[in-house]
Amino acid sequence: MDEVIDDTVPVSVAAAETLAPAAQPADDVVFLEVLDKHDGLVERHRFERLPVTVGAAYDNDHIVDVESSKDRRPVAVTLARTHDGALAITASRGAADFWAPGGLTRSWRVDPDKSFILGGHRMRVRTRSYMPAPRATSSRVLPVLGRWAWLWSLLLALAGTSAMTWLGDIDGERSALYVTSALATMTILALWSAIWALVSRLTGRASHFLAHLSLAALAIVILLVLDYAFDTAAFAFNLPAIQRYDYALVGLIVGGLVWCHARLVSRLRPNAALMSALLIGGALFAFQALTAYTARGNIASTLTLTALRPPALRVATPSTVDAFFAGTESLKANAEASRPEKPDGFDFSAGGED
Amino acid sequence: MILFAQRCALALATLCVAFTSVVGAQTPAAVPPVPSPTGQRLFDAARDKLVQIRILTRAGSSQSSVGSGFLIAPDGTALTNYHVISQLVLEPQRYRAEYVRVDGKRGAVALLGFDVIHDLAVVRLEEIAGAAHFSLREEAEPLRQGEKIFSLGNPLDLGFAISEGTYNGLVERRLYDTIHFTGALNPGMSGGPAVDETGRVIGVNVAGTGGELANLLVPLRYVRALIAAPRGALDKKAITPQLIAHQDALVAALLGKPFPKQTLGPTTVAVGEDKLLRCWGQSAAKPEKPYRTESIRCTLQSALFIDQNFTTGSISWDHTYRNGDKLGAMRFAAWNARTLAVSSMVGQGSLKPTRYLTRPHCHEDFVTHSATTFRVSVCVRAHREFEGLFDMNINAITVDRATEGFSSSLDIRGVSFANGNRLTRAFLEASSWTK
Repeated sequence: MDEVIDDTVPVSVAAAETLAPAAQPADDVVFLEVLDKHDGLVERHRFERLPVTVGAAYDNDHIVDVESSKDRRPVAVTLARTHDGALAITASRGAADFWAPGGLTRSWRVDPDKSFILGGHRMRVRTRSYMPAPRATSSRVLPVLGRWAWLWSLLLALAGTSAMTWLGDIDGERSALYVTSALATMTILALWSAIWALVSRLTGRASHFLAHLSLAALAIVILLVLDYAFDTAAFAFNLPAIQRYDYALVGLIVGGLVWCHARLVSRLRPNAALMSALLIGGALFAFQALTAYTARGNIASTLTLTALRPPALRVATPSTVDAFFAGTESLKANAEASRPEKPDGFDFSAGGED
Repeated sequence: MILFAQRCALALATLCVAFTSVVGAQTPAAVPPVPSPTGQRLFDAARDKLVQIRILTRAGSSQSSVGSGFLIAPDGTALTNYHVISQLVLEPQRYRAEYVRVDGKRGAVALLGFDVIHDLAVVRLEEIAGAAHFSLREEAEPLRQGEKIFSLGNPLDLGFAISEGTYNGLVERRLYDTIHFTGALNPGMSGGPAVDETGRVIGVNVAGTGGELANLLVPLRYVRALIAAPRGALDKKAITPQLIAHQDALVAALLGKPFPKQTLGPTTVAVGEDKLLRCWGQSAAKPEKPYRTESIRCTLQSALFIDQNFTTGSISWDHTYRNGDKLGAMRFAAWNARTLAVSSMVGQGSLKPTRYLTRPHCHEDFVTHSATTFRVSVCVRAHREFEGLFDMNINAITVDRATEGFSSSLDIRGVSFANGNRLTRAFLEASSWTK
């Protein structure tokens, strides 16, 4: 039997009770909607009064064809109002459990936005009072960030890239550099957000361009801040490895960003969102590792530390000249051990003497 | 028909003769350049003693490189440059050599010995017996500055030629004596003889300097030493001891006495012995810029040719002082860090193993001495073909002042690890703040 596919947060029966409007005016007209596995509507049945029975036997109000299963108990549920007026589905006496959000159950309080599975058939129940949710806006998709998230995150991203430009602009007179970096940032953000907006449009009702833009701009800010912080830590604590492998951070941030785009905004299924994040983040990591390997023969992005910071940020204690040159002794053995490593490409030395 | 054609041809020939006569009568007769009598005599005398040496692939007998050579004994012993026959030493399984005489006769070339340090090689030209040969000028008869000398060879594979020039003493600031020849030397003349006015050899053509008519010859004393040296191995294993001797001489010359120091802004840095190294300074300070730099770069002309893609035995270093008071600490640090990314070994493109070098291995740390704190990295690549030799690079950059700093970088190719460590350490200890 298929499990219930839930594209939002899994809700238990108890939680469903809080979601279901318990104090609905008593209205016995209900709609039983049969869905496909993507929650697309296949057919809709109107019932004028409750209770409604659904099952494999022909004495039910709605009959479902049940494939053979190990569970020999009959498939039958009853849709009725509980004592507090809420709609609930209950397995008939002696009948098999059915799937509802939260797992196999005998009873489930109806949530009109969620489906249950009976005998392999996905269904949901709605009443005449059901109001379809309005089209989600960007601010509703990411309510934590607020309505103007796209604006302030974009401004932050531009400020971040300008700060990096400023650090490198020692001549202090190249305003074109700032314009170029701002334009490049905006172009990248626009293209990235447009791609995700298209994904959202294809998988849902809205493109959520501004929500995607907010996420991407925030990711740039996080990337810039963390990269600078990591390099600073590498310098401060004399830990060059932090800088050598900091491209893993890029992979992680981009992977996280992809997950946010896919799951939080485009509402892709959890597995699809996770797979997208792993694929894109992993591909970026692998690309950078391969680039480093091509240049150096190992996957470290730099051979030695290439970031310096003001003296006040240095925490590591310097060594003496004696101690430093004692440390270089191991280089001889390391270099000699590398002799057997062959160069890539055409080996000019092959042939005669070997 | 035939008669008509004959008449036409006759008329045309008459017309041409008449035209030529008129032109000849109207222009002054062209005066042929007067040949240098000495040059003409020397070239005539040298014709049978000169050869072109060609390196050919064994597979297809395609010409890989060419140079010149000259006979120094009747048994066919001849001299040339090591760099002319280097492929015979390094890849004898792929290359062979042949000589071509002025009259076009050719034969095989056998290697007898070579000297990588002075770029010389002794070879035997097969199938030459009782041939005329050059004699060497006596040691007791030193050359005088301004003395006329002549260089012979086969420039650019165009044909044998003689070039007249002047002896201008020994080249200054070189580890080994080299004759400064003010005369033309072109590719292809390498390995040819330089002779005095009596036709005796005074040196061997070796290289151009890139300057106009300022070229280099190997002095005769190195030729004599090579001829007298016992014959040993003739493959690339014989290169290693020569390179080790070279780096010993190099380090002894540099560390024979404490590094001379020089002031660079508020710093003191190591420079080289003035008679040994060439140092060039540069200052970049413009009022409109928020920074200024001063730098010194020193090089020792000691690089040895191994093959077309690999030279070793060289040393160079540079120091750069930077002041960025108007930049602020963060921007100055970012600017200063650029030096770390472009130091000679770290910044030289691909750092993967090559035919001759392993990939680099580095050690880095903060180091303090003489009240100066540096970020120091030492990187080492072992020579894959020549055991016991390494390329080493030290890069030191100060990290103790917010808006000023200096960096010192030393690059040594083909040095023993112990000598490299001695040099890099002495270099680091010679650099510090003075103010």
